[in-house]
Amino acid sequence: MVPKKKTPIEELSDQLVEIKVLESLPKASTSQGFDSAKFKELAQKVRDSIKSEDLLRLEASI
Amino acid sequence: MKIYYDLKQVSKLKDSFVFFDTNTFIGAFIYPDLFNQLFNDLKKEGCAFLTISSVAFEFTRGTRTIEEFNDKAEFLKTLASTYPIEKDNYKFKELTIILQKVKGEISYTDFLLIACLHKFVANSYLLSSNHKDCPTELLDRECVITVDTEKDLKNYGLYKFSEHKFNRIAENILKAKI
Repeated sequence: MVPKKKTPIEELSDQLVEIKVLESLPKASTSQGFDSAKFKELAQKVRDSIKSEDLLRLEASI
Repeated sequence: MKIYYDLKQVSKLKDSFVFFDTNTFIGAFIYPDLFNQLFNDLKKEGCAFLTISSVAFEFTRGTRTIEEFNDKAEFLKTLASTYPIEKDNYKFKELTIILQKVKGEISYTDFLLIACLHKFVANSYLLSSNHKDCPTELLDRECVITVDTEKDLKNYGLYKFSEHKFNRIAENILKAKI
């Protein structure tokens, strides 16, 4: 059986990170600690993927 | 580069929900070393970090590639959980008229963030650098956080919903009707 060819939208969807919303509110007091290393690594990835002119525009916006 | 805030004020946020505005995510990835200190101190107090879908939309706005979108989305969802405040929209008719009275041109994102503070009034805060859209007619600015980038100073505020101010504005609206 030949697998059904995915539409461009389905292919795009497969490649995109999904931001899910919460089903219920987390309990603040039991929230996990802060992962500094992961935070800094992801911040660097965002900076690397943004064009320098966009970075300057975003910096000016805050 | 340095970040300045009153640790005593931060310790008052014990076990609170801190909602992040779009400019908080922007500041966090541009100045991670500075925000790392603040986020660590808030987490030590048991705070949970939240945001809303409208902020996620704003944060990913202007994205040029799949990689850039994914890096931003991964950053946002790792830092904060996304609370679906939109499902409670029908509960906010009083807040809607009151916000439109004090801040007529408020954006829908800012309305929803303030709705979050209203819903979780006992223990929620908004972290934002957009002070003109955080009306102090309705919100109390509990703490100021200054980010010294060497070439510039950027101020963030931690805002809390004031039930007292909310009731006072309602009274004024009712009086105006008479």
